[in-house]
Amino acid sequence: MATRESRDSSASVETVLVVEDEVLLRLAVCEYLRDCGFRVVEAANADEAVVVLEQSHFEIEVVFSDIDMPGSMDGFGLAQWTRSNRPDVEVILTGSVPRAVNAAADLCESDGTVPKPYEPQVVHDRIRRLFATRTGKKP
Amino acid sequence: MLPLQAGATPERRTILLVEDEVLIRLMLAEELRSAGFHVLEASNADEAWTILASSLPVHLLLTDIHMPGRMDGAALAGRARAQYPQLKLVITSSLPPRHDVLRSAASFFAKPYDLHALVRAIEELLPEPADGDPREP
Repeated sequence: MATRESRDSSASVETVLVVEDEVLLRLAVCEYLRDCGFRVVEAANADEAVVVLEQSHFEIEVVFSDIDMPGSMDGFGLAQWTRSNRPDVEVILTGSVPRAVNAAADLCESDGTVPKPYEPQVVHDRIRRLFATRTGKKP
Repeated sequence: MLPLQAGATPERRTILLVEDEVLIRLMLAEELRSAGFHVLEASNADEAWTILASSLPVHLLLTDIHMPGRMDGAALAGRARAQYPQLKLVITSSLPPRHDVLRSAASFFAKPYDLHALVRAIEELLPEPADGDPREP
């Protein structure tokens, strides 16, 4: 389930930082959010995310992060770091493909600047098909 | 061919950008998107190969050479060239790459490079509209 913190749902989100180590899922979620009208910045892990968040010119308003990631920090660590260092930034944590897809759909529905382009199930199915092209790796 | 991922259609000029330095990758990706390209971002060669092996259309591979991981950019370029000979290849590096890597690329940009010059070179390599996916026979 997505975790949303202290945010006025009527506010208009401009830039989302997506943090996900599984590249095909990251691409799918980023495309989905871009199609909803967001500016999307991608990071492959929490360490990359911290580098981005330390640069104020990216104007990140929401961090959309996986929980389980390799590196010096997982998603919980990144959420803690963000709370301490960028309290102005909202954090959405996802823990699985369905949760990531649903959280992306929620974000699009609440803050997207264009209508939601497709149903979450359609996105989920697309991601599953992409994963299915890879031997031995299923969502 | 499997249904396409949102945004990635054969008609859109799609670049697979492979760069482990996140700030360089983000700036370059934004510049390429502003120029009208569809950009798939990979933070290392393994991620890039996952994308190449998927059903996502890719017209041009833009890769750094020196990257951590099981495969560096030179190995990725060689593997991509062998498997997808029609895929256009542009390489970047802070050090001069090996001769065989350089020879296989359509263009080479030494770091630090001029972002606009790089985008112009890619526009010449991928004029609109893009041909079909070069990985397909």
